[in-house]
Amino acid sequence: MNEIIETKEVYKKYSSAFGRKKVEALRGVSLTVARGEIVALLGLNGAGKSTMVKLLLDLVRPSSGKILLFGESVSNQRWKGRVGYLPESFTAPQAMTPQRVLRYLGQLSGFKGKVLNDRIEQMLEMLGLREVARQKVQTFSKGMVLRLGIAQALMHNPELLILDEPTDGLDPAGRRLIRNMLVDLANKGVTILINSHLLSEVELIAHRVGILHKGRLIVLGGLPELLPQNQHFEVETAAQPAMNKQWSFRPTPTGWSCEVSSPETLQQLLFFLQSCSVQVLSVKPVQTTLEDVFFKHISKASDDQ
Amino acid sequence: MINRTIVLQTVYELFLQPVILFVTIIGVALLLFITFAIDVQFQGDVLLSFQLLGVMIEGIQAKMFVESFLPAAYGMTTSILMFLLILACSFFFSSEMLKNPLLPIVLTKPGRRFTVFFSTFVGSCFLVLLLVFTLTLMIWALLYTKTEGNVSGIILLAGLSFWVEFVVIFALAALLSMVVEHTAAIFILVMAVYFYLAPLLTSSSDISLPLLSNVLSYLVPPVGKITMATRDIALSGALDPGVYLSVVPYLLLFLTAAALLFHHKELSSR
Repeated sequence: MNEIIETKEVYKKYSSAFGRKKVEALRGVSLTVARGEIVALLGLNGAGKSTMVKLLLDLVRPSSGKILLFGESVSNQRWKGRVGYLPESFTAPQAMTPQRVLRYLGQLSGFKGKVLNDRIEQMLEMLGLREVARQKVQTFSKGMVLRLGIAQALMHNPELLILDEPTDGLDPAGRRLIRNMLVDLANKGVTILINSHLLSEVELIAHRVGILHKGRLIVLGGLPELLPQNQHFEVETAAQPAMNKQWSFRPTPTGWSCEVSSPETLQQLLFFLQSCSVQVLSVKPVQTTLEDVFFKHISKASDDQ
Repeated sequence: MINRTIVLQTVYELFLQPVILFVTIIGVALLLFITFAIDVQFQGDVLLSFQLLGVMIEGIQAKMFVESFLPAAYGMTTSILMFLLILACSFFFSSEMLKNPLLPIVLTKPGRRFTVFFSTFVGSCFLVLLLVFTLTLMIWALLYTKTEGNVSGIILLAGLSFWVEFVVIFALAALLSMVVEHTAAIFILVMAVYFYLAPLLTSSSDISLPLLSNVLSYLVPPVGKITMATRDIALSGALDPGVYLSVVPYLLLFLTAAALLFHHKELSSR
């Protein structure tokens, strides 16, 4: 069994009190995540990302559709203990220390005695929390609380990690630490589903990316498919050429620039600039970013509706 | 059905609630009052004099004063204690349990939702039992010393009776917290049942609408009877086990309904 997460045509409607107003949070989402894969769900606020995560953990129930974890229906609860979960905006009771939080959740996962103590120490060390292990959570920065959240999610060696905004609020060093840790875990066969707004972070680690928009999964694919190696180039010049009708230049802080979509058009532009005696400052390849892809699909989906 | 780790965690978290600190302060104030403001003199079993805040009453008047003063003082103290405990626990159950940041994580751990619910309930009741029992024991020990052994140990049973009363009310608060989202509304409803409906239904002839009275008498647990039974135990040592049996169906009904609602509850709106 290679599919760790499998959802088929999942719909979720939220009703207000007395069912007066219904909001469709998810509309026919089908998704599979294989063992050892890192899949990121992207979307604007209210797109349905957190609802999707809560459905996967049986914290909310689908209006219709099928959700399987480890090949079995999520409602039969046999997945419990095999999943590590970091909720969105994770926090712990303010009077607790990291050590106590990890002890409590570790005990619930079935650890005890020396194994539990060793595991707590290991997690505190791994997430850089050893020095603050006996400080109350109320004294922590957002980044430290998040590190604690990730520590508890990893505490019981889960086979599936579900992380809602795992690097939001971390400093660059913390982000790199978590990024490397997640890649390492995926290499060891741990399946990881991430909800994130930080597209640049996702681009660095995800194998596949899904974009949710107004409850629909409008895109799902590998990064090589979504980020094609295009051959766009940007040419920066010192001045805008006179008598120009063919090329579209826009001003930049240091001069003017023009983007072309193939090596052939680049060559034509360079000839043209030479003929006009316009100084070329730089020629750079233009890479499509995940952010470009994200907004392109969001905008297309909005136009279609 | 009960998870020891969750029970202990509940005791720990509930103990840190500010209202529990108020309960402790009231308990200490009560102990200081008994220690320094009351002096009772006995000759054998006969009350000779009763001194309150320096004012001494002797002979038969002392006996009459004690008979009227003690029920009033006892009623006032237990009312304040119950008010604070209901406040602490109804807020804890609705705010802390259902909105506890660790709850979504706890629900991904091995174990059923029923276990989480009942363990949290048992943990809360256990802490209140500890508080009430410790307080009652200390009051009894002080009175025992002051009256040269003229206080019966049955007063400790009054503490237990008070706790049973709390458990029933707390089960109602737990049930309400599963259907009502606003903590203040839960508190007001529980207070209305405990301080208004229950005493009113205990003396049901006071209700002018017989139909409403009949309906309410089935819905509202007879905690008013336990209040009276608790006072009777404390003041005269009389114990009526039938009163406690009458609340068992309510307790079971409230807990079962609350546990089922929790089992099916979606932990987030949106």
